[in-house]
Amino acid sequence: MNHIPVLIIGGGAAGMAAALAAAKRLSELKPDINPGEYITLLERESAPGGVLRQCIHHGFGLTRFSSDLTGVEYMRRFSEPFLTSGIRFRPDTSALHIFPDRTVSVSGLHTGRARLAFDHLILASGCYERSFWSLTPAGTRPSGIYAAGEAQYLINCCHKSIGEQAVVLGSGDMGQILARRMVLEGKKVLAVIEKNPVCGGLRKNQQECLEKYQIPVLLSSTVLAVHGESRITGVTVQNLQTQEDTFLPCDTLISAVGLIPEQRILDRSLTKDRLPEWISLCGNCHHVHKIVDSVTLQAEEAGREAVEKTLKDY
Amino acid sequence: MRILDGQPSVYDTVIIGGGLLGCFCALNLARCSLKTLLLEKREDVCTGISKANTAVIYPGYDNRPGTLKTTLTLKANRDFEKLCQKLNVSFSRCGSLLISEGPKGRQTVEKKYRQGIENQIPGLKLLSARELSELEPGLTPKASLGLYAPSAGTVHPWELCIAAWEAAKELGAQTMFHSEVTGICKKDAYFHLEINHKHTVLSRSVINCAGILADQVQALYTEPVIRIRPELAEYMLFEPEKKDLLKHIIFYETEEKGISLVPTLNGKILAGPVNRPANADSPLSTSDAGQKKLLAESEKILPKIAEEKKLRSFSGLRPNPYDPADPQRSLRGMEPLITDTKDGLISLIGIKTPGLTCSHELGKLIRDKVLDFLHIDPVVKEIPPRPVFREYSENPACQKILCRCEGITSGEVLDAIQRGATTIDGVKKRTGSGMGLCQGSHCSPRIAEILSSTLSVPMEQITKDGPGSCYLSPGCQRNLL
Repeated sequence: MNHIPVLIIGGGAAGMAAALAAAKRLSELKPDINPGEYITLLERESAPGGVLRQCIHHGFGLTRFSSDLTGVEYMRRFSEPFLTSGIRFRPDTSALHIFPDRTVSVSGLHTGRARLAFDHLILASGCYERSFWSLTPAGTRPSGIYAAGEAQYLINCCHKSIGEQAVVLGSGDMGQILARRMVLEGKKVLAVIEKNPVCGGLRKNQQECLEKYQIPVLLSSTVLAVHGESRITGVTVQNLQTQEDTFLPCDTLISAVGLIPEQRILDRSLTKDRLPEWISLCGNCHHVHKIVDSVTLQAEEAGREAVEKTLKDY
Repeated sequence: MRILDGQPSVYDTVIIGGGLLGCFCALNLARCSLKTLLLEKREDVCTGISKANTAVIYPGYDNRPGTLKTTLTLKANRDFEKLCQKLNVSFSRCGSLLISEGPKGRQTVEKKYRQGIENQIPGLKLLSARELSELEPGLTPKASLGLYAPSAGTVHPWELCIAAWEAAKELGAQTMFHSEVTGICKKDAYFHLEINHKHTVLSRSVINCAGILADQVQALYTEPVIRIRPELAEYMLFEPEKKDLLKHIIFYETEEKGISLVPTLNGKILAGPVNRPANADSPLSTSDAGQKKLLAESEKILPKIAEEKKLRSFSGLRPNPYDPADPQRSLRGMEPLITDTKDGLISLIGIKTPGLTCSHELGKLIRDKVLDFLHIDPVVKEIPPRPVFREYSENPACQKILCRCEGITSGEVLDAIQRGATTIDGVKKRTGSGMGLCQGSHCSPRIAEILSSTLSVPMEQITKDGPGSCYLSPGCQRNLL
């Protein structure tokens, strides 16, 4: 089994920043070591970028680059140097499980099933979305209900139309951005539903996504029930203060009800509270960051530290 | 009436309904080299009653000794490993605990224990509160008495149903999807079955396994002596982080019929059912009250389940049989309700628990009745080894993970499509994709893309589970037409 000094799982904002910072530190400390021998990055998709690939809206890089970039532009600032850095990049490869003996099982297009050994692991696996179905709503189980990230992927990466009349559940940044995206696609957004008495997300997004397009927000409300047998035909929205129910006809429900740090591949013996020193978590798998700029900062530090730590025994 | 393909298609037997019973009837009849046709109204097998149930293989103490139900259950339970081996499906004989609280619950447990002893169920044992907590430490300390049945088990109903169908296909049984039977009459020796008001197929015998609509199908031919009052059964699935949170199936008997908790084969905990009345055409739906009750009952049995993540809730259909001459008279709990017109049409109306357990046994029973009617000497072939589709799942180039939660690869999805999946749910039923915490939000677009390219249809036509349930915008479908 080939030993990988620094293995990075995930090629999104965090993974790429960690890899580039690690390579830079390596060239500073040991310029004779080839970064491809030292650093490997696993990415489940065929190209790096992670969720930034589907973020065509702007608002990225304000602190890092002092300019207002789209997610894709922000991504390019890292993916282009990353792909030419000589760091070993394994696309289409998923890490399945991280074992306490410093190995990881992987599955991918180019590797098949394999087990990799490493000295230090940087987990940069991002988040997954809390599913609408985990809220166990009443009613039917039709098609036309998308998680926000799923909707965003379909619209921005697959160039598909997902529906004509949408209701968005959750007024956080994801919900707001998707509501605006639907309007820009020429679709109708009936309402953004928010369980709290105030709208979520950044104030900037409220103005630019909702107010500018006059998308109504129903506060202190939730989706109580789903209607429609094959395709969704509407939702019952309940006002949590008045207990009043309203039926909103729609053919699409976009659910943006929260992000959960993706740590499921850690062996159960490696819980977050007693994480061994040979694993570091960075980016959204550590905690959900408000802006990508802070993901980058945290990841760069993890990348540098990983090199410094592992070089001692190399 | 137009005959399909201009030629009258003549079969020895036609089975109406591709649920567990239909598929096992098809398998057992195809084993006798009968020309067999399975008619299914929807896009896939296993879409009705069989789709959502408790997934339990019962030990056989719920019915009186000597009854057909008991005989079939005992035989089915004893032979279940063998069946699952032949069909290459998973089965876990995890054992069950019937637990009680209160005097009435205690009586039920004691009665079932006596019945179970009479039925000679292996390993049956009454357990004290202490023994219960040793066997299943997470259980409520309030459980004062338990009945342990080591022979109870759990199976994946979709997997079993699809495996039976695939084995039936391997033996030559044919299937027609999107084919609703709209008329049945008999001329000379042949039943004429009208399909979708358009085509006709001819058959010497008919087996009605139409599930929730079985009484309505029977009524196309003769007035049914059993009618169905549909019920919705609500369930909830949990994803326990602690994989040993529950090891046995728990049946909970309090003053009224309680729920079950089942540790499923894919590491989830299934809670349910909570039942409520429905109509035959009412869509599968959950209710606010049902969900609350499920959660409360689950926590009562296994208090720590409150800390675990909920995956989803859903509902299934239950066909409650009653006597149409006396609608107040429920036929629930009666012997398997096999209606035989004696001229070649056999109906299974209102088969409930233990229908899943006995599906193969009932299939064999029906086969014998059909053979008897057709005056055919039974030469029963072995169940063939189920065809295994590994062309893609074993190909190193198809090991890209599409469903991150359940670790399902592109190869497994491609094989599922080779095996007959045409929808996102069809892939889910065959691979287990989309069953994890993200509930398909990552894999659905990717699976839809593969379905689209493999079946050579635009992605806009890919559905979740059949006509009308398009995955993408319903507006796109209109534009395509």
